[in-house]
Amino acid sequence: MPTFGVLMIILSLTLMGSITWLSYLFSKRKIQSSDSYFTAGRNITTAFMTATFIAYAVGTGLIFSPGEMAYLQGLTSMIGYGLAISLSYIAFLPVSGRIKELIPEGNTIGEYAKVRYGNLMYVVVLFVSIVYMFCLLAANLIGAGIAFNYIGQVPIHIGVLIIGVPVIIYTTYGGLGAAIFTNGLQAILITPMLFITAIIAFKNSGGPVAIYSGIQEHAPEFLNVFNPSGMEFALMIIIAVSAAELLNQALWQRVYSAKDIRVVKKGLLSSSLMTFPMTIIAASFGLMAVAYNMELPHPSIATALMAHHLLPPWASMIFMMIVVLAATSTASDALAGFSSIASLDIIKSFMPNLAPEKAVFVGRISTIVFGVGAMLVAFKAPSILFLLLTADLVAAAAVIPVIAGLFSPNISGSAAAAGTILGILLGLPLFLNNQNLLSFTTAIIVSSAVIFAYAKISPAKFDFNKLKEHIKAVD
Amino acid sequence: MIYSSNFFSILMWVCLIGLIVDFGFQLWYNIVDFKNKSLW
Repeated sequence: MPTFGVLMIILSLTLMGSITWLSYLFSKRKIQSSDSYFTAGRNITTAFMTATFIAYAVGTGLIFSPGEMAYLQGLTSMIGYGLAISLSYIAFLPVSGRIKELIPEGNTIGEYAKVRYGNLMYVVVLFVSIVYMFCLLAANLIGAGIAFNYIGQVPIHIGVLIIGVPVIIYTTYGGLGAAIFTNGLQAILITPMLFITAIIAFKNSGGPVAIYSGIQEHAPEFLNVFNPSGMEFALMIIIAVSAAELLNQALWQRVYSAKDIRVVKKGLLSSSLMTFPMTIIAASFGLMAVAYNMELPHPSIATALMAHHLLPPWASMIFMMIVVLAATSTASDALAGFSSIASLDIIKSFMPNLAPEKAVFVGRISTIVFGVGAMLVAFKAPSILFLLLTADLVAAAAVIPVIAGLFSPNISGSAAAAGTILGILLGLPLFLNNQNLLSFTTAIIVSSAVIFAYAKISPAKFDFNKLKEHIKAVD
Repeated sequence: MIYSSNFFSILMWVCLIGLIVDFGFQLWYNIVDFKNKSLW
Protein backbone atom coordinates (compact mmCIF):
# COMPACT_ATOMS: atom_id res chain seq x y z
CA MET A 1 0.00 0.00 0.00
CA PRO A 2 1.52 3.43 -0.93
CA THR A 3 2.32 6.04 1.74
CA PHE A 4 -0.62 8.14 0.49
CA GLY A 5 -3.00 5.26 1.25
CA VAL A 6 -1.57 4.78 4.74
CA LEU A 7 -1.88 8.51 5.43
CA MET A 8 -5.47 8.46 4.13
CA ILE A 9 -6.32 5.75 6.63
CA ILE A 10 -4.62 7.54 9.54
CA LEU A 11 -6.19 10.94 8.78
CA SER A 12 -9.64 9.45 8.16
CA LEU A 13 -9.51 7.54 11.42
CA THR A 14 -8.40 10.70 13.25
CA LEU A 15 -11.15 12.79 11.65
CA MET A 16 -13.84 10.19 12.25
CA GLY A 17 -12.58 9.55 15.79
CA SER A 18 -12.81 13.28 16.59
CA ILE A 19 -16.30 13.61 15.12
CA THR A 20 -17.47 10.50 16.98
CA TRP A 21 -16.02 11.80 20.25
CA LEU A 22 -17.59 15.27 19.87
CA SER A 23 -20.88 13.67 18.91
CA TYR A 24 -20.70 11.44 22.00
CA LEU A 25 -20.14 14.47 24.26
CA PHE A 26 -23.07 16.30 22.64
CA SER A 27 -25.42 13.31 22.77
CA LYS A 28 -24.51 12.47 26.38
CA ARG A 29 -25.79 15.86 27.50
CA LYS A 30 -28.74 16.12 25.13
CA ILE A 31 -30.45 12.72 25.23
CA GLN A 32 -32.93 13.32 28.02
CA SER A 33 -35.91 11.51 26.52
CA SER A 34 -36.89 9.18 23.71
CA ASP A 35 -38.27 12.17 21.82
CA SER A 36 -34.80 13.74 21.87
CA TYR A 37 -33.38 10.53 20.34
CA PHE A 38 -35.88 10.40 17.46
CA THR A 39 -36.57 14.10 16.84
CA ALA A 40 -33.62 15.90 18.51
CA GLY A 41 -35.88 17.48 21.12
CA ARG A 42 -37.84 19.50 18.46
CA ASN A 43 -35.58 22.44 19.20
CA ILE A 44 -33.29 22.77 16.15
CA THR A 45 -32.65 26.36 15.02
CA THR A 46 -31.51 27.93 11.76
CA ALA A 47 -27.74 27.25 11.76
CA PHE A 48 -28.09 23.55 12.43
CA MET A 49 -31.14 23.27 10.18
CA THR A 50 -29.29 24.87 7.25
CA ALA A 51 -26.16 22.84 7.97
CA THR A 52 -28.07 19.60 8.19
CA PHE A 53 -29.87 20.23 4.87
CA ILE A 54 -26.51 21.05 3.25
CA ALA A 55 -24.65 18.12 4.77
CA TYR A 56 -27.51 15.79 3.89
CA ALA A 57 -27.34 16.89 0.23
CA VAL A 58 -23.54 16.83 0.16
CA GLY A 59 -23.04 13.10 0.23
CA THR A 60 -21.21 11.09 -2.35
CA GLY A 61 -24.42 11.63 -4.37
CA LEU A 62 -23.28 15.25 -4.74
CA ILE A 63 -19.51 14.77 -4.75
CA PHE A 64 -19.41 11.83 -7.21
CA SER A 65 -22.67 11.47 -9.19
CA PRO A 66 -22.75 14.98 -10.79
CA GLY A 67 -19.10 14.45 -11.78
CA GLU A 68 -20.00 11.04 -13.19
CA MET A 69 -22.79 12.55 -15.29
CA ALA A 70 -20.66 15.50 -16.40
CA TYR A 71 -18.01 12.99 -17.52
CA LEU A 72 -20.56 10.84 -19.36
CA GLN A 73 -22.88 13.50 -20.84
CA GLY A 74 -21.46 16.99 -20.47
CA LEU A 75 -22.45 20.44 -19.37
CA THR A 76 -26.25 20.29 -19.64
CA SER A 77 -26.50 17.27 -17.38
CA MET A 78 -24.11 18.92 -14.91
CA ILE A 79 -26.30 22.04 -14.70
CA GLY A 80 -29.37 19.79 -14.50
CA TYR A 81 -27.88 18.00 -11.50
CA GLY A 82 -27.17 21.33 -9.75
CA LEU A 83 -30.73 22.49 -10.40
CA ALA A 84 -32.17 19.14 -9.29
CA ILE A 85 -30.61 19.32 -5.83
CA SER A 86 -31.57 22.98 -5.37
CA LEU A 87 -35.10 22.66 -6.73
CA SER A 88 -35.86 19.60 -4.61
CA TYR A 89 -35.49 21.79 -1.49
CA ILE A 90 -37.69 24.50 -3.05
CA ALA A 91 -40.31 21.84 -3.87
CA PHE A 92 -40.17 20.66 -0.25
CA LEU A 93 -40.97 24.17 1.08
CA PRO A 94 -44.79 24.06 0.83
CA VAL A 95 -44.83 20.40 1.84
CA SER A 96 -42.79 21.07 4.98
CA GLY A 97 -45.23 23.82 6.02
CA ARG A 98 -48.16 21.46 5.61
CA ILE A 99 -46.41 18.68 7.57
CA LYS A 100 -45.64 21.01 10.50
CA GLU A 101 -49.21 22.34 10.46
CA LEU A 102 -51.00 18.98 10.29
CA ILE A 103 -48.60 16.77 12.27
CA PRO A 104 -46.79 18.92 14.85
CA GLU A 105 -45.91 15.90 17.02
CA GLY A 106 -44.90 13.57 14.20
CA ASN A 107 -41.92 11.22 14.11
CA THR A 108 -41.92 9.39 10.77
CA ILE A 109 -43.44 9.49 7.29
CA GLY A 110 -44.82 6.00 7.90
CA GLU A 111 -47.13 7.01 10.76
CA TYR A 112 -48.59 9.73 8.50
CA ALA A 113 -49.24 7.15 5.76
CA LYS A 114 -50.90 4.82 8.28
CA VAL A 115 -53.31 7.38 9.70
CA ARG A 116 -54.00 9.09 6.39
CA TYR A 117 -54.30 6.03 4.14
CA GLY A 118 -54.51 2.86 6.23
CA ASN A 119 -52.40 -0.28 6.41
CA LEU A 120 -51.85 -1.10 2.72
CA MET A 121 -50.37 2.29 1.82
CA TYR A 122 -48.50 2.22 5.13
CA VAL A 123 -46.68 -0.95 4.01
CA VAL A 124 -46.02 0.53 0.55
CA VAL A 125 -44.58 3.76 2.04
CA LEU A 126 -42.43 1.79 4.48
CA PHE A 127 -41.10 -0.30 1.59
CA VAL A 128 -40.30 2.81 -0.48
CA SER A 129 -38.68 4.60 2.48
CA ILE A 130 -36.55 1.62 3.50
CA VAL A 131 -35.37 0.95 -0.09
CA TYR A 132 -34.47 4.63 -0.42
CA MET A 133 -32.64 4.85 2.92
CA PHE A 134 -30.75 1.64 2.21
CA CYS A 135 -29.64 2.70 -1.29
CA LEU A 136 -28.63 6.12 0.04
CA LEU A 137 -26.54 4.61 2.83
CA ALA A 138 -24.93 2.01 0.56
CA ALA A 139 -24.19 4.64 -2.12
CA ASN A 140 -22.34 6.80 0.39
CA LEU A 141 -20.32 3.91 1.74
CA ILE A 142 -19.46 2.86 -1.83
CA GLY A 143 -18.35 6.41 -2.66
CA ALA A 144 -15.91 6.39 0.23
CA GLY A 145 -14.83 2.80 -0.49
CA ILE A 146 -13.96 3.38 -4.16
CA ALA A 147 -12.22 6.66 -3.37
CA PHE A 148 -9.99 4.82 -0.86
CA ASN A 149 -9.45 2.05 -3.36
CA TYR A 150 -8.61 4.01 -6.51
CA ILE A 151 -6.77 6.90 -4.89
CA GLY A 152 -4.91 5.24 -2.03
CA GLN A 153 -4.95 1.60 -3.18
CA VAL A 154 -6.71 0.76 0.06
CA PRO A 155 -9.00 -2.31 -0.29
CA ILE A 156 -12.65 -1.22 -0.70
CA HIS A 157 -13.82 -3.06 2.39
CA ILE A 158 -11.26 -1.20 4.55
CA GLY A 159 -12.49 2.16 3.22
CA VAL A 160 -16.12 1.16 3.81
CA LEU A 161 -15.33 0.03 7.35
CA ILE A 162 -13.39 3.22 8.19
CA ILE A 163 -16.45 5.27 7.26
CA GLY A 164 -19.21 2.86 8.24
CA VAL A 165 -18.17 1.82 11.74
CA PRO A 166 -17.80 5.31 13.35
CA VAL A 167 -21.04 6.50 11.71
CA ILE A 168 -22.90 3.51 13.04
CA ILE A 169 -21.41 4.08 16.51
CA TYR A 170 -22.33 7.74 16.90
CA THR A 171 -25.73 7.48 15.20
CA THR A 172 -26.63 4.41 17.24
CA TYR A 173 -25.78 6.25 20.43
CA GLY A 174 -27.16 9.72 19.69
CA GLY A 175 -29.92 9.20 17.09
CA LEU A 176 -31.13 12.18 15.07
CA GLY A 177 -29.53 14.73 17.42
CA ALA A 178 -26.10 13.19 16.79
CA ALA A 179 -26.72 13.17 13.04
CA ILE A 180 -27.73 16.86 13.02
CA PHE A 181 -24.89 17.90 15.33
CA THR A 182 -22.26 16.14 13.19
CA ASN A 183 -23.91 17.58 10.06
CA GLY A 184 -23.17 21.01 11.52
CA LEU A 185 -19.47 20.15 11.87
CA GLN A 186 -19.31 18.46 8.46
CA ALA A 187 -21.01 21.28 6.54
CA ILE A 188 -18.77 23.98 7.96
CA LEU A 189 -15.65 21.93 7.14
CA ILE A 190 -16.69 20.78 3.65
CA THR A 191 -17.39 24.24 2.18
CA PRO A 192 -13.93 25.85 2.65
CA MET A 193 -12.17 22.55 1.86
CA LEU A 194 -14.05 22.27 -1.44
CA PHE A 195 -13.17 25.88 -2.26
CA ILE A 196 -9.44 25.36 -1.58
CA THR A 197 -9.19 22.17 -3.64
CA ALA A 198 -11.29 23.56 -6.51
CA ILE A 199 -9.26 26.75 -6.81
CA ILE A 200 -5.99 24.76 -6.95
CA ALA A 201 -7.48 22.32 -9.48
CA PHE A 202 -8.60 25.23 -11.69
CA LYS A 203 -5.15 26.82 -11.45
CA ASN A 204 -3.35 23.57 -12.28
CA SER A 205 -5.67 22.73 -15.17
CA GLY A 206 -5.14 26.15 -16.78
CA GLY A 207 -8.51 27.60 -15.67
CA PRO A 208 -12.02 27.39 -17.12
CA VAL A 209 -10.96 28.50 -20.62
CA ALA A 210 -8.41 25.66 -20.88
CA ILE A 211 -10.96 23.16 -19.55
CA TYR A 212 -13.47 24.42 -22.14
CA SER A 213 -10.89 23.99 -24.92
CA GLY A 214 -10.12 20.45 -23.73
CA ILE A 215 -13.81 19.50 -23.83
CA GLN A 216 -14.13 21.09 -27.28
CA GLU A 217 -11.24 18.94 -28.48
CA HIS A 218 -12.25 15.59 -26.96
CA ALA A 219 -16.07 15.71 -26.74
CA PRO A 220 -17.50 18.79 -28.52
CA GLU A 221 -21.05 17.37 -28.30
CA PHE A 222 -20.82 17.84 -24.50
CA LEU A 223 -20.94 21.62 -25.06
CA ASN A 224 -24.20 21.43 -27.00
CA VAL A 225 -26.97 23.01 -24.88
CA PHE A 226 -29.60 20.71 -26.39
CA ASN A 227 -27.45 17.58 -26.44
CA PRO A 228 -30.34 15.01 -26.37
CA SER A 229 -28.84 12.65 -23.80
CA GLY A 230 -27.79 15.57 -21.59
CA MET A 231 -31.25 17.19 -21.79
CA GLU A 232 -32.95 13.88 -21.07
CA PHE A 233 -30.73 13.29 -18.08
CA ALA A 234 -31.20 16.86 -16.78
CA LEU A 235 -35.00 16.54 -16.88
CA MET A 236 -34.93 13.07 -15.39
CA ILE A 237 -32.64 14.00 -12.52
CA ILE A 238 -34.78 17.03 -11.60
CA ILE A 239 -37.85 14.76 -11.41
CA ALA A 240 -35.93 11.96 -9.68
CA VAL A 241 -34.28 14.01 -6.94
CA SER A 242 -37.39 16.10 -6.24
CA ALA A 243 -39.55 12.98 -5.94
CA ALA A 244 -37.07 11.28 -3.66
CA GLU A 245 -36.62 14.26 -1.35
CA LEU A 246 -40.34 14.92 -0.95
CA LEU A 247 -40.71 11.38 0.37
CA ASN A 248 -37.51 11.26 2.29
CA GLN A 249 -37.83 10.24 5.95
CA ALA A 250 -34.60 12.15 6.68
CA LEU A 251 -36.22 15.43 5.53
CA TRP A 252 -39.57 14.75 7.23
CA GLN A 253 -37.64 14.03 10.43
CA ARG A 254 -35.91 17.41 10.15
CA VAL A 255 -39.25 19.18 9.84
CA TYR A 256 -40.38 17.47 13.06
CA SER A 257 -37.10 18.36 14.77
CA ALA A 258 -37.29 22.10 13.96
CA LYS A 259 -38.17 24.67 16.60
CA ASP A 260 -40.80 26.15 14.28
CA ILE A 261 -41.72 26.29 10.60
CA ARG A 262 -39.75 29.52 10.02
CA VAL A 263 -36.57 27.62 10.86
CA VAL A 264 -37.40 24.90 8.31
CA LYS A 265 -38.22 27.41 5.58
CA LYS A 266 -35.10 29.47 6.22
CA GLY A 267 -32.98 26.30 6.26
CA LEU A 268 -34.50 24.98 3.04
CA LEU A 269 -34.14 28.29 1.17
CA SER A 270 -30.56 28.83 2.33
CA SER A 271 -29.44 25.31 1.55
CA SER A 272 -31.21 25.40 -1.81
CA LEU A 273 -29.04 28.38 -2.79
CA MET A 274 -25.91 26.99 -1.16
CA THR A 275 -25.95 23.51 -2.67
CA PHE A 276 -26.06 24.74 -6.30
CA PRO A 277 -22.46 26.06 -6.43
CA MET A 278 -21.26 23.06 -4.44
CA THR A 279 -22.77 20.65 -6.99
CA ILE A 280 -21.43 22.55 -9.97
CA ILE A 281 -17.92 22.76 -8.52
CA ALA A 282 -17.90 19.06 -7.62
CA ALA A 283 -19.22 18.18 -11.10
CA SER A 284 -16.61 20.36 -12.79
CA PHE A 285 -14.01 17.72 -11.88
CA GLY A 286 -15.92 15.36 -14.21
CA LEU A 287 -15.64 17.93 -17.00
CA MET A 288 -11.92 18.29 -16.28
CA ALA A 289 -11.63 14.51 -16.75
CA VAL A 290 -13.26 14.94 -20.19
CA ALA A 291 -10.87 17.78 -21.02
CA TYR A 292 -7.92 15.54 -20.07
CA ASN A 293 -9.44 12.60 -22.01
CA MET A 294 -9.09 10.45 -18.91
CA GLU A 295 -10.01 6.76 -18.94
CA LEU A 296 -11.89 5.70 -15.81
CA PRO A 297 -11.68 2.32 -14.05
CA HIS A 298 -15.09 2.89 -12.35
CA PRO A 299 -17.88 5.19 -13.61
CA SER A 300 -18.30 6.92 -10.24
CA ILE A 301 -14.66 7.79 -9.66
CA ALA A 302 -14.25 10.70 -12.14
CA THR A 303 -14.31 13.42 -9.48
CA ALA A 304 -11.87 11.83 -7.03
CA LEU A 305 -9.46 10.59 -9.70
CA MET A 306 -9.32 13.94 -11.44
CA ALA A 307 -8.80 15.75 -8.14
CA HIS A 308 -5.95 13.39 -7.31
CA HIS A 309 -4.44 13.91 -10.77
CA LEU A 310 -4.55 17.72 -10.61
CA LEU A 311 -3.84 18.46 -6.97
CA PRO A 312 -0.59 18.29 -4.99
CA PRO A 313 -0.62 15.42 -2.44
CA TRP A 314 -1.59 17.63 0.54
CA ALA A 315 -4.56 19.10 -1.37
CA SER A 316 -5.56 15.68 -2.70
CA MET A 317 -5.62 14.53 0.92
CA ILE A 318 -7.95 17.44 1.76
CA PHE A 319 -10.20 16.32 -1.09
CA MET A 320 -10.24 12.81 0.34
CA MET A 321 -11.31 14.24 3.69
CA ILE A 322 -14.18 16.01 1.86
CA VAL A 323 -15.24 12.59 0.59
CA VAL A 324 -15.04 11.16 4.10
CA LEU A 325 -17.09 14.04 5.57
CA ALA A 326 -19.63 13.95 2.74
CA ALA A 327 -20.13 10.20 2.97
CA THR A 328 -20.46 10.18 6.74
CA SER A 329 -22.89 13.10 6.89
CA THR A 330 -25.45 11.58 4.55
CA ALA A 331 -24.85 8.06 5.88
CA SER A 332 -25.68 9.14 9.44
CA ASP A 333 -28.84 10.90 8.19
CA ALA A 334 -29.95 7.70 6.44
CA LEU A 335 -29.21 5.65 9.56
CA ALA A 336 -31.11 8.03 11.86
CA GLY A 337 -34.05 7.96 9.42
CA PHE A 338 -34.12 4.19 9.34
CA SER A 339 -33.78 3.95 13.11
CA SER A 340 -37.10 5.82 13.53
CA ILE A 341 -38.84 3.80 10.83
CA ALA A 342 -37.69 0.47 12.29
CA SER A 343 -38.60 1.31 15.85
CA LEU A 344 -41.65 3.58 15.62
CA ASP A 345 -43.22 2.09 12.49
CA ILE A 346 -42.23 -1.54 12.09
CA ILE A 347 -41.72 -2.83 15.64
CA LYS A 348 -44.42 -0.62 17.14
CA SER A 349 -46.92 -2.10 14.67
CA PHE A 350 -46.40 -5.47 16.34
CA MET A 351 -45.95 -4.07 19.87
CA PRO A 352 -48.27 -1.03 20.14
CA ASN A 353 -47.47 -0.57 23.85
CA LEU A 354 -43.71 -0.42 23.32
CA ALA A 355 -42.29 1.78 26.11
CA PRO A 356 -40.38 4.93 24.95
CA GLU A 357 -37.03 3.71 26.35
CA LYS A 358 -37.53 0.30 24.68
CA ALA A 359 -38.27 2.16 21.41
CA VAL A 360 -34.84 3.80 21.67
CA PHE A 361 -33.23 0.40 22.32
CA VAL A 362 -34.97 -1.07 19.25
CA GLY A 363 -33.91 1.96 17.22
CA ARG A 364 -30.29 1.40 18.24
CA ILE A 365 -30.29 -2.30 17.34
CA SER A 366 -31.95 -1.51 13.97
CA THR A 367 -29.30 1.11 13.22
CA ILE A 368 -26.56 -1.50 13.67
CA VAL A 369 -28.34 -4.16 11.57
CA PHE A 370 -29.14 -1.68 8.78
CA GLY A 371 -25.61 -0.26 8.78
CA VAL A 372 -23.96 -3.67 8.61
CA GLY A 373 -26.30 -4.72 5.74
CA ALA A 374 -25.43 -1.59 3.75
CA MET A 375 -21.70 -2.19 4.34
CA LEU A 376 -22.05 -5.72 2.92
CA VAL A 377 -23.63 -4.28 -0.27
CA ALA A 378 -20.99 -1.55 -0.43
CA PHE A 379 -18.20 -4.17 -0.48
CA LYS A 380 -19.47 -5.15 -3.98
CA ALA A 381 -19.26 -1.49 -5.16
CA PRO A 382 -21.99 -1.16 -7.82
CA SER A 383 -22.40 2.25 -9.58
CA ILE A 384 -23.48 4.94 -7.10
CA LEU A 385 -25.62 6.66 -9.69
CA PHE A 386 -27.44 3.44 -10.65
CA LEU A 387 -28.15 2.69 -6.99
CA LEU A 388 -29.48 6.19 -6.30
CA LEU A 389 -31.60 6.25 -9.46
CA THR A 390 -33.18 2.89 -8.60
CA ALA A 391 -34.19 4.30 -5.22
CA ASP A 392 -35.40 7.52 -6.88
CA LEU A 393 -37.62 5.59 -9.29
CA VAL A 394 -39.38 3.76 -6.48
CA ALA A 395 -39.89 7.12 -4.74
CA ALA A 396 -41.18 8.72 -7.97
CA ALA A 397 -44.07 6.24 -8.10
CA ALA A 398 -45.11 7.05 -4.52
CA VAL A 399 -44.50 10.79 -4.36
CA ILE A 400 -47.75 12.18 -5.78
CA PRO A 401 -50.03 9.75 -3.86
CA VAL A 402 -48.26 10.53 -0.57
CA ILE A 403 -47.90 14.29 -0.97
CA ALA A 404 -51.36 14.85 -2.50
CA GLY A 405 -52.79 13.24 0.62
CA LEU A 406 -51.47 16.15 2.68
CA PHE A 407 -53.46 18.64 0.64
CA SER A 408 -56.54 16.84 -0.68
CA PRO A 409 -59.02 15.00 1.56
CA ASN A 410 -60.46 13.12 -1.43
CA ILE A 411 -57.65 10.65 -2.09
CA SER A 412 -58.27 7.21 -0.65
CA GLY A 413 -55.76 4.71 0.72
CA SER A 414 -56.57 1.97 -1.76
CA ALA A 415 -56.19 4.35 -4.72
CA ALA A 416 -52.88 5.66 -3.34
CA ALA A 417 -51.51 2.13 -2.88
CA ALA A 418 -52.79 0.94 -6.30
CA GLY A 419 -51.33 4.02 -8.03
CA THR A 420 -47.94 3.58 -6.36
CA ILE A 421 -47.66 -0.15 -7.07
CA LEU A 422 -48.78 0.32 -10.69
CA GLY A 423 -46.29 3.18 -11.11
CA ILE A 424 -43.43 0.96 -9.86
CA LEU A 425 -44.52 -2.02 -11.99
CA LEU A 426 -44.69 0.04 -15.19
CA GLY A 427 -41.70 2.29 -14.50
CA LEU A 428 -39.16 -0.29 -13.36
CA PRO A 429 -38.94 -2.36 -16.61
CA LEU A 430 -38.45 0.87 -18.61
CA PHE A 431 -35.72 1.94 -16.19
CA LEU A 432 -33.94 -1.40 -16.45
CA ASN A 433 -34.20 -1.02 -20.24
CA ASN A 434 -32.27 2.28 -19.97
CA GLN A 435 -35.30 4.43 -20.85
CA ASN A 436 -34.59 6.63 -17.86
CA LEU A 437 -36.72 9.74 -18.47
CA LEU A 438 -39.64 7.65 -19.76
CA SER A 439 -39.48 5.40 -16.70
CA PHE A 440 -39.72 8.33 -14.27
CA THR A 441 -42.48 10.14 -16.15
CA THR A 442 -44.41 6.87 -16.49
CA ALA A 443 -44.15 6.16 -12.75
CA ILE A 444 -45.38 9.66 -11.88
CA ILE A 445 -48.11 9.99 -14.52
CA VAL A 446 -49.56 6.53 -13.89
CA SER A 447 -49.70 6.92 -10.10
CA SER A 448 -51.16 10.45 -10.41
CA ALA A 449 -53.77 9.34 -12.96
CA VAL A 450 -54.93 6.49 -10.73
CA ILE A 451 -55.32 8.57 -7.54
CA PHE A 452 -56.98 11.61 -9.14
CA ALA A 453 -59.36 9.53 -11.29
CA TYR A 454 -60.39 7.52 -8.23
CA ALA A 455 -60.77 10.70 -6.15
CA LYS A 456 -63.14 12.11 -8.79
CA ILE A 457 -65.23 8.93 -8.90
CA SER A 458 -65.23 8.18 -5.19
CA PRO A 459 -63.90 10.99 -2.93
CA ALA A 460 -62.59 9.77 0.43
CA LYS A 461 -63.48 12.91 2.50
CA PHE A 462 -60.65 12.43 5.00
CA ASP A 463 -60.75 14.53 8.17
CA PHE A 464 -57.26 16.10 8.58
CA ASN A 465 -57.80 16.56 12.35
CA LYS A 466 -57.27 12.80 12.69
CA LEU A 467 -53.57 13.30 11.96
CA LYS A 468 -53.15 15.53 15.02
CA GLU A 469 -55.33 13.24 17.16
CA HIS A 470 -53.50 10.00 16.34
CA ILE A 471 -49.89 11.07 15.81
CA LYS A 472 -48.17 11.96 19.08
CA ALA A 473 -44.61 12.42 20.31
CA VAL A 474 -42.93 9.25 21.62
CA ASP A 475 -42.74 10.26 25.31
CA MET B 1 -26.68 25.93 -29.73
CA ILE B 2 -23.31 25.68 -27.99
CA TYR B 3 -22.35 26.87 -24.50
CA SER B 4 -19.84 29.66 -25.01
CA SER B 5 -16.44 29.75 -23.37
CA ASN B 6 -17.52 32.95 -21.57
CA PHE B 7 -20.64 31.32 -20.17
CA PHE B 8 -18.59 28.39 -18.89
CA SER B 9 -15.98 30.65 -17.29
CA ILE B 10 -18.60 32.86 -15.62
CA LEU B 11 -20.47 29.80 -14.30
CA MET B 12 -17.31 28.37 -12.77
CA TRP B 13 -16.15 31.63 -11.17
CA VAL B 14 -19.62 32.51 -9.86
CA CYS B 15 -19.88 29.07 -8.28
CA LEU B 16 -16.43 29.40 -6.71
CA ILE B 17 -17.40 32.77 -5.24
CA GLY B 18 -20.67 31.12 -4.20
CA LEU B 19 -18.70 28.73 -2.01
CA ILE B 20 -17.16 31.66 -0.10
CA VAL B 21 -20.60 33.22 0.33
CA ASP B 22 -21.91 29.82 1.54
CA PHE B 23 -19.18 29.62 4.14
CA GLY B 24 -19.84 33.18 5.28
CA PHE B 25 -23.54 32.45 5.76
CA GLN B 26 -22.79 29.23 7.64
CA LEU B 27 -20.48 31.11 10.03
CA TRP B 28 -23.03 33.87 10.53
CA TYR B 29 -25.88 31.43 11.23
CA ASN B 30 -23.69 29.57 13.72
CA ILE B 31 -22.71 32.73 15.57
CA VAL B 32 -26.38 33.76 15.83
CA ASP B 33 -27.48 30.28 16.91
CA PHE B 34 -24.74 29.95 19.49
CA LYS B 35 -26.92 32.14 21.69
CA ASN B 36 -29.54 29.39 21.74
CA LYS B 37 -28.33 27.86 25.01
CA SER B 38 -31.08 25.23 25.12
CA LEU B 39 -29.68 23.79 21.89
CA TRP B 40 -26.24 23.26 23.39
